[in-house]
Amino acid sequence: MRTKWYVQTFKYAILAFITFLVLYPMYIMILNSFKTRLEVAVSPLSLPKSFSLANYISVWERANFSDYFLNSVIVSGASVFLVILVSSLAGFYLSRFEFPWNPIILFFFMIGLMLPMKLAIIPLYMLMIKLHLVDTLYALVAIYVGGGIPFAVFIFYGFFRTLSKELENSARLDGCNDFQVYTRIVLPLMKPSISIVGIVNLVRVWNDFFYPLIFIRDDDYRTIPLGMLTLFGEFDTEWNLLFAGLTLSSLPLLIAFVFASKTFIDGLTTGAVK
Amino acid sequence: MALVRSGKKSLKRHLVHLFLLPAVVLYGVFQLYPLLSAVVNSFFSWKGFVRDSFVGLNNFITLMTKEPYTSTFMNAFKHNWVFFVVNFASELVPAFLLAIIVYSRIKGKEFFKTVFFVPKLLSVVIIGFLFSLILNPASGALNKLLKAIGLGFMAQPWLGDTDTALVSIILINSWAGLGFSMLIFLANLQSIDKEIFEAARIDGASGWKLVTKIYVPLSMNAFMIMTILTFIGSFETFDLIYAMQGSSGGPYYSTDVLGLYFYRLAFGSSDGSQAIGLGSALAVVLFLIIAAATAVLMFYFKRKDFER
Amino acid sequence: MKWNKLSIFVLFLILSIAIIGCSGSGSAGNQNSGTSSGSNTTPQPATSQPTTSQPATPQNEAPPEEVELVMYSWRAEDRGMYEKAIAKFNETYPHIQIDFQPYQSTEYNTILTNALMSGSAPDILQLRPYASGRSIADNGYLLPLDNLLGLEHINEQYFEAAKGSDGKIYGVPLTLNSGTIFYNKDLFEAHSLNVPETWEEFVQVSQTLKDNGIIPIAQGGRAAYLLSLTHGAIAPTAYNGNEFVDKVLSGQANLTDPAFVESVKRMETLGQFFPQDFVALDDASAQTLFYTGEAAMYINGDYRLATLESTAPDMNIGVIPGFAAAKGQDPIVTTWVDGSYAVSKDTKHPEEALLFMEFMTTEAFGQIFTDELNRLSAVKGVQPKHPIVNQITAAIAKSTTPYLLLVHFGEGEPTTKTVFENALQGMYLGEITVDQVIQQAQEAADRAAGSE
Repeated sequence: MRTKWYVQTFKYAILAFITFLVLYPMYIMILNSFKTRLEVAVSPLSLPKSFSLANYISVWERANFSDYFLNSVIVSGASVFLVILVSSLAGFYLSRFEFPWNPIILFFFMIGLMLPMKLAIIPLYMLMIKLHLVDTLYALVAIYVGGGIPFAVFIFYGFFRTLSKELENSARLDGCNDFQVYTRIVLPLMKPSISIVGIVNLVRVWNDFFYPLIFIRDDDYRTIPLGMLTLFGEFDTEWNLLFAGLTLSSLPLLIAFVFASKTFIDGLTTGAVK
Repeated sequence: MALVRSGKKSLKRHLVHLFLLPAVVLYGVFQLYPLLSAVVNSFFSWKGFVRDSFVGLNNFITLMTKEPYTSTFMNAFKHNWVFFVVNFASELVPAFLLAIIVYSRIKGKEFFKTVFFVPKLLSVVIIGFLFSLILNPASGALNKLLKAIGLGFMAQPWLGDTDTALVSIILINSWAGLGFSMLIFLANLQSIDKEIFEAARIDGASGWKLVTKIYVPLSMNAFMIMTILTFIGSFETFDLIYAMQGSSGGPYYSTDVLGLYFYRLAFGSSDGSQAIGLGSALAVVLFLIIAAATAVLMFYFKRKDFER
Repeated sequence: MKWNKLSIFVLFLILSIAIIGCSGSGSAGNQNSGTSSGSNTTPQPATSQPTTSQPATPQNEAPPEEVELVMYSWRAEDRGMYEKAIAKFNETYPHIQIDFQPYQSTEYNTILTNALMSGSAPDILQLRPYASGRSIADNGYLLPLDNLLGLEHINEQYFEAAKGSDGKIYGVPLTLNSGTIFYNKDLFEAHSLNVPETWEEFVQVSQTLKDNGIIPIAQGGRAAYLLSLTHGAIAPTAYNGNEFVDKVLSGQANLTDPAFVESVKRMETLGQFFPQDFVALDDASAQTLFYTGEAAMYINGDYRLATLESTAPDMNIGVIPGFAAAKGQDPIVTTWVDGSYAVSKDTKHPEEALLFMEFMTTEAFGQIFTDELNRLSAVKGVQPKHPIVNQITAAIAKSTTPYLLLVHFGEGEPTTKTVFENALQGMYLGEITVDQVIQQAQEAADRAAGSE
């Protein structure tokens, strides 16, 4: 084409610059996680002398990481699963059936989309007390599911509206009952929506530290972000361990991302556009 | 309505409501109820943690008219606006331009898309910590770099100066969101029919003209969403500032925002007491601001859409 | 049709608000309280094992049942000491297990607030001193301890930190803090400096250090409380210590008094002796300057001693407990109570909890406390083994004055102290003048007084 060479160079230059900007802080974090304490203090910006995993092992043992990791997995997994399940059912219902209360329900869900839920933290806490759920992972899951429903319902609702009823009807005429219609026809088509909802919620829940901060006190139930905060307290002078700890905390999501990057990106962007 | 086998009709109809029920219950109990509770709380006075008596709009009046609440509120409010404007300029605009670049004829689209997205996966706590290191006045990478390339006079205590602290944090926020925003704009561009671009090119449009006359109008949808999200984010913002500057919005209140102020009122600062009534009132005010602005923004963008 | 839907919605909204409003959800004192019912899983190694068949003090009628108390604290760092103390306690009372649950200091208030508010309070809790603790007491969450055995082992003045507005004692003071100037002995020697005794000498020493390329004082300003703490340490001789405090308490003087203004001007003077851009410097980075020898002095609470010694064991650390009004006189040491321990009113085991409180007034506890942590115990008669701690204790015994802003200006939202320290930040950043700092602080104080 007729694109001039200097325009192309300019484009690549900008892209390279942004890439550098984006990766630099993480580069620092990972780099320093391999250094000894002295090295970090003396030469924080240079390459480590050796790539030993000593720091990682140390942090893992001292900071109860296996528990944190497990808790994060449980909370994230349960929350994502429940949100998808519950919201897809609701979305299906709202788009397929014309009940008079549908618009009201939709409006209520929309409120949740717009307004900051953190501001209702105190009533939320008192609620958890009444339900005896404080200091349990159930509390976190409930909150995350509740918070993820509005967005998910809208995604599924929008999806179902675009889904042609013809397909369903013809399947029914072929003799499928409702459940088979759901599993054979609807479910496979739902995959993109599921991945959108799944990924948005996964990222949101995994990295959240606000609710665990308020609701979790027992060290056994801490999730990774909360565990990280304690890292700052315990290791505030042991920078090398701190960096290793931070890298460990970020690793799960980063690895998941590497394996499923296309899904992540497509999921999140299409989701937001809708 | 779906065709239903007769006989099972009434049972089926009632079963179907079960589809909706879990979502409504979970959402209602864990989101809506606390929200409404918070609203109700704002109409009462509080003795520490115990709800006292009904005071109507008193909390709101106090918040808006009595010192020091008013000036703290206005200060924080102003910062939220600054947050929105600077965030828009430093995140959305570059994101849009980047999207155009990535959309055009270049190699390695997938690579760049992947890389730019990574910051979104990091926890706010980590981002705050890493950048406070980078921006450290004496030992941080930024100032060292400036000095190395001869721009030493520009080296500041970025997070320690009232003039630069807030903007620095906003820029960090933009850093984190840039990739994601770019991908949204990119997805939007990719959904546009290529024929429109071809037609424009044949008509002789190129370069900057192409951008303003074609790309921008066609991306209005994405802009609307991103602007609204940015606005909501700017007024709700709490996590990053809390992680970097603590709950009081230092230095000297220069990074205080409404979200932070709410936290102080609701939970008390390290040696202050709490004011739940005022905190709830602030929460309600925030709700209203966001709702109003969202409505206005949507209205504005919808009109632009029609004009197209 | 739209009208119908809208009215249904409005009706629903009104109904739900009405329901919430009438359900009285705000009251605390929900009687699910006391010991955490089964939410503890792995028993912490902190809870000690009872020593083999030591008979409990013969005060119980029946063989004592195993009781577990939950204890909250904001000092996770002190866990080791608490383990030893609890072990000692268990020598006498093996049936009382104590689960020590510390939380990060910055989140402690939130967590404690939530626990109290929701009725799931711990049995024993560490109480923030002065105004903060007072509000918890005033809200009825604590058991009064006026009749506790052993109170006479603690200096009476310290109870101020744990009294409610009703004048009753609600906490057993734990420790005394003092505002201390740490200095690097080797650096002082290298520059032939005498340890300054008065403010004037201090300025001179700082100037000499600065002229020799050494940062005189490693001060961080990122967290505003550090600034008011430094002020607390250097201020007393500016406004003449306890005399001024008494005047303030009796209403004869306030913060606009020239003597107090003088103390803030001192802070202004010190600005040149702080590291460059110190407002952006956090405490950890400031400490690093002290460790590396780039700075010669470090002003903070005496409790920093443990950190300093463990991070820089080879450094020769000396302390200046306070300034003297004139050379040769006793230094005036700024002190305040760091925290006390209180018992929740809703505890299911009040007798056992009180036994532990009693234990905390004993010399045995005080000795463990001091020796493990190198801190100043509030219990009388404890002789610190550590020479520096001993030095400070001796100085306090001769002349002490309260950390004015923390002890007496902790009221209001935001507190006067908060306004003051944030204003100091503003002063150093060139945003406001010394007089404006005073003005802001006094205005805050007036507001706090007015709203009581």
